[in-house]
Amino acid sequence: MSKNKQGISRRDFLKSTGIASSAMLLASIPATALAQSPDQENIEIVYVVPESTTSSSKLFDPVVERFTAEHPNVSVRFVAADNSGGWGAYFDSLVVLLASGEPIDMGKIPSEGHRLAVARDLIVPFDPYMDVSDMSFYFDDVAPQLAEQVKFAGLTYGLPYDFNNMVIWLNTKALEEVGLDAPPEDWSFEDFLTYAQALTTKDGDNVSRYGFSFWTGPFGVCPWLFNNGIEGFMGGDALEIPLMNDPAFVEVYQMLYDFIYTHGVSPRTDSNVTATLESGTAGMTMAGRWPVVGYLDAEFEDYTIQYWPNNGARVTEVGTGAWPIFSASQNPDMAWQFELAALNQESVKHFVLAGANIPAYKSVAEDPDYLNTHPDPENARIFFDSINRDDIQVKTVSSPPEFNELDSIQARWTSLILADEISVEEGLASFQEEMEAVVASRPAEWADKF
Amino acid sequence: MNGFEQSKAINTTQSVGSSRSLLQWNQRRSDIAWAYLLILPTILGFLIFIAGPVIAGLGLAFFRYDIVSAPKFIGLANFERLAADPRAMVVLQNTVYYTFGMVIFDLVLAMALAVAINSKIPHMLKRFYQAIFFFPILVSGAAIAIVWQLLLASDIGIINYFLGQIGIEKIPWILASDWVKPSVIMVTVWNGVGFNMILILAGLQGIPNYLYEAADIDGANGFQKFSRITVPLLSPVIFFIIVKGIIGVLQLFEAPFVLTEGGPGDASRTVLMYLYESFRQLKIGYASSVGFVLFGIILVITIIQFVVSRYWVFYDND
Repeated sequence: MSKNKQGISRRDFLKSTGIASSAMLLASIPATALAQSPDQENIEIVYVVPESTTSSSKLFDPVVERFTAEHPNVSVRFVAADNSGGWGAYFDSLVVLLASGEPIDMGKIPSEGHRLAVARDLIVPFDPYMDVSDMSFYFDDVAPQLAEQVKFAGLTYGLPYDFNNMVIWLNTKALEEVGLDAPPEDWSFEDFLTYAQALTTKDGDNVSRYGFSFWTGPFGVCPWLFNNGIEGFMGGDALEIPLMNDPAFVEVYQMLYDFIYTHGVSPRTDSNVTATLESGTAGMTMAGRWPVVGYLDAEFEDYTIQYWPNNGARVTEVGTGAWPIFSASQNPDMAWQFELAALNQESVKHFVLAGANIPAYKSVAEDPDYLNTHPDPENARIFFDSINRDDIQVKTVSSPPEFNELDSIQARWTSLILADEISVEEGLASFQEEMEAVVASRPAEWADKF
Repeated sequence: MNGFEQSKAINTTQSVGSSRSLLQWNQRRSDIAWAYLLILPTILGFLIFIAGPVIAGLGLAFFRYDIVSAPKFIGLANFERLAADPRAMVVLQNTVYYTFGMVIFDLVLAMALAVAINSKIPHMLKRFYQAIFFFPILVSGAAIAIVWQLLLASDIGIINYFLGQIGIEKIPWILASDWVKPSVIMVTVWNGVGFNMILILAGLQGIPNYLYEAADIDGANGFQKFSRITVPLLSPVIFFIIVKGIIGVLQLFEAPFVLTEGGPGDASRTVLMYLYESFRQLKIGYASSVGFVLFGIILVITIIQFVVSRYWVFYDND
């Protein structure tokens, strides 16, 4: 045993260290963890939010402030689920949270997850609440086609407060260089190819600017499918019929292949396509409203937008944001009250101005504060008008209950087709086969839910 | 001193001796108790966060479980499905490819860099090269993969642009099946070679100079000195790099996930990405069976490496 000159032995030093470490560990446990259970009269609403740069719990601060002022016994706690890996990763986090027993009351579920949540009874219908609430503030102001997007088997599971669609973004400097005006709103697939070819410029053998850069996730391919007269990746009320063998489906994939290999108007990559418009590497690209935040930060204003080209059918693809109430909720009645507070026009305006989505309300979509986030406010009306016209149908991105499987199977076969390692027909036949196997393993009771 | 007094003296001595032994025994028990107490947090952490989940995961491999519904026992069905899945064989082959490619490439490159830095170059230059080759280790692998994804983009990436300037046709680095795996290996090795270079450099600097001087006297050339002195004396470091490298590559995920998402098709997909995909599709039981098999493969390979090491790894006390 060693002793220092002050008489503390090594053994005593180690004991003291152990006691001190234990004390520090205990002190680090939050007091709330050791507190007694809260007063039964106090209610806590637990809300799941996808944390990202344009969507976070901070956005709810004004909503929470107003709500808790009206309901002083209610507090709102936000639980973050990571969506940096896309909506698929967000659903995984959400499902794990629910399975872990976290008493989540409500949270954002985008279109891709609605059927997944309904099939697994994770969310409850709003109809009993809507029947006893004055919903005129909502239905009088929301585009009718949009309001129906979270309705299955006659039951409403969510009330869209915002959405994103797909439009074509064009670089105005590139258009000017090649002497083209912005295309007409009802341009066809052929017109689109003409624009893409005109915007493609070469420097010797190298392409200095591509006419069109595109990405190929389900949200990126669906608008082509919809505007080519097909339901999407899956058909049927319960999205139980894979459509990859449909001639209209094959036609779209052949067109995408031809953009790259036959016409040479598109690069063989789908990473960060919105950056290609800004950098001038592409004359056109595709997106919803989400590039606007990045473009504002970069002070990039040389763009315009146009409706998606069509091939007979005019359809706008949407992905909606809604806040369903979870079946795990311990306070569904109060969760509904928070839903109403967050759903009003003032709140939605706050969300869309801070983020990159399109408001579901016409009044907000026509608000100058919203329109002036774009260099051409009149042009920006296209975002909302695309879902508010009688001559344009609105369809939600293909979102079967097995969206995660569709997403990964689609990515595999599409990448092989567009890498020119497999023919379009062969690739889609394999895609069809895999999706048929996925649907075949679906529980029979799911069919009644849609 | 009479007998009684002697006896009393002996008893006293024995009592004092017994007391001292008892005191030492109590002290020792106290030491043991404190030792267990102090390592208890680590043991609890290991049991709760490592051993527990591993055992639970192995158990789940025998169930069908989607997190939302209760687990259902299905015996070996997940393993049968894994054995029959052609994709499983593809991802396993990819992983073996990466293992050989990355470990060998990384080791050879790290060795070359370390030998070069350990040569007679100015001290400041040594430090400079050590820093720049080590720097990629400090950066997140995902961030590196994102940057490389932009550099390696087939039609708009800067590497193909410069290749085009010297008359080389565009290479589909991260688009074509023939190129994706070498591209992933290149990016991953670029990210990690600095660490192994530092290990080998430290090992080189521990080799006594007199061995090389003696070899010079005996007329050994550079290759002979390298193969007969450097490599044997570096064998413990090389062994460590190989074992760590194989374990790491068998669990490769970040680079291929960001660079290629496993594509095109499954051309660059690893076993861990396949496992992750199964978790994403809420096939927890099946994913656990994949994890079980991967664990077994890593365990067997590591044991084989340790057994074989006795024939080629030389430690100082050998």
